[in-house]
Amino acid sequence: MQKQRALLIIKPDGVQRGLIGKIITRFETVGLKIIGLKFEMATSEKVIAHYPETEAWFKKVGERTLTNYAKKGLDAKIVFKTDDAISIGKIVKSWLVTYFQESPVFMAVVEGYDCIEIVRKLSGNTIPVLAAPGTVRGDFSHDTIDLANEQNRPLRNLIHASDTVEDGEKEVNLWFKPEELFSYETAGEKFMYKI
Amino acid sequence: MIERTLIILKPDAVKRSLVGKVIETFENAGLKLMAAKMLRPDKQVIKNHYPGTSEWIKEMGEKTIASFKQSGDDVMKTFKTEDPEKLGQFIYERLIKYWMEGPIFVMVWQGPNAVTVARKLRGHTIPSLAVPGTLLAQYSFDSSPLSASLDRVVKTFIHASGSTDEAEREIKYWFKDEKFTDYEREVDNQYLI
Repeated sequence: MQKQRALLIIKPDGVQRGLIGKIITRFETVGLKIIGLKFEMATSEKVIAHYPETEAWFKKVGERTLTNYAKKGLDAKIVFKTDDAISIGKIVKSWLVTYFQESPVFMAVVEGYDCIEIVRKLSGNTIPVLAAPGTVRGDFSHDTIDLANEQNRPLRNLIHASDTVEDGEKEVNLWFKPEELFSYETAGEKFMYKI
Repeated sequence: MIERTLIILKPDAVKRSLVGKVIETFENAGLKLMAAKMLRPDKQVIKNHYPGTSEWIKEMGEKTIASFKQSGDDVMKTFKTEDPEKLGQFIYERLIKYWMEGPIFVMVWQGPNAVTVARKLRGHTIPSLAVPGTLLAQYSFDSSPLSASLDRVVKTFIHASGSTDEAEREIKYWFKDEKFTDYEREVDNQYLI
């Protein structure tokens, strides 16, 4: 079995509310190894590159937004000045860029067996109100799609965690240079794995 | 009033997965993280983190002698010298060796009296002398006699700047001319306006 790497980003709401330590501790305690760390103001270019830039992704995000608005009986056209899914997807992405730059963000590269599955599990459902207790989003937030839509902003969901092995590699390489990643043995790992 | 201080988690703290706990301690006190990075510096970079002057080396030797006397241990027997300068030089080398045991994590924290606040939360440099509630007491039992018996320095796993001057020198040393972005923390509105 191969070790995997995932990127964790504690977003501005987590940083500004003083939750970096509490959140990082959870990933350390479960046994993942932090192999890279930095705290910086993300540039627009990096945030734009971090999220997909394909028509398909814009469409997916736009359609999801339209569905949510329709369910609430709200007129998306009033907020977005359009009802075209792709255009709405692009606007939502611009909101994400703004959100990411409200303060510097705390980034950690973690490594471990089944790392992707573990970071997703610990982070919880991306919609905080639906995230289970014991997860980062479930314990530290209760934001909802409705509220976010009403306030014309993206969900404030505290943390980004890589979704797939491929995304993990892509994101780690986007935010970290190879010389910013380190290899070492944690004090506990020989008791966890046979090494 | 608003100061900045440099905090370094040394290799044993990183290996013991104490990053989150230490960050949480400073966050809870209301300090604001301004910069952070993980790195594995080479020998020269570690060496130059310290003043390294002959007075500083001598002082380190004197401190060690004093700490041995306090605990009733024999300096001569352990180090084969009682000369503060030679002893200081010897400890300096061992200190660098300790720093090279793995990657370290360097941070800048900001806030009112940040230097004093961070030092207080860290506790006495020697963990066995640190009072309960401080980080060094909470997460270590290391002492001068123990470390001497194992031919190493006391593993004081958090460095925190000793004065505002030292902090500014150290921040410049580790972060060069990097600009840090200020931002609003949830505590700011309660205490800083």
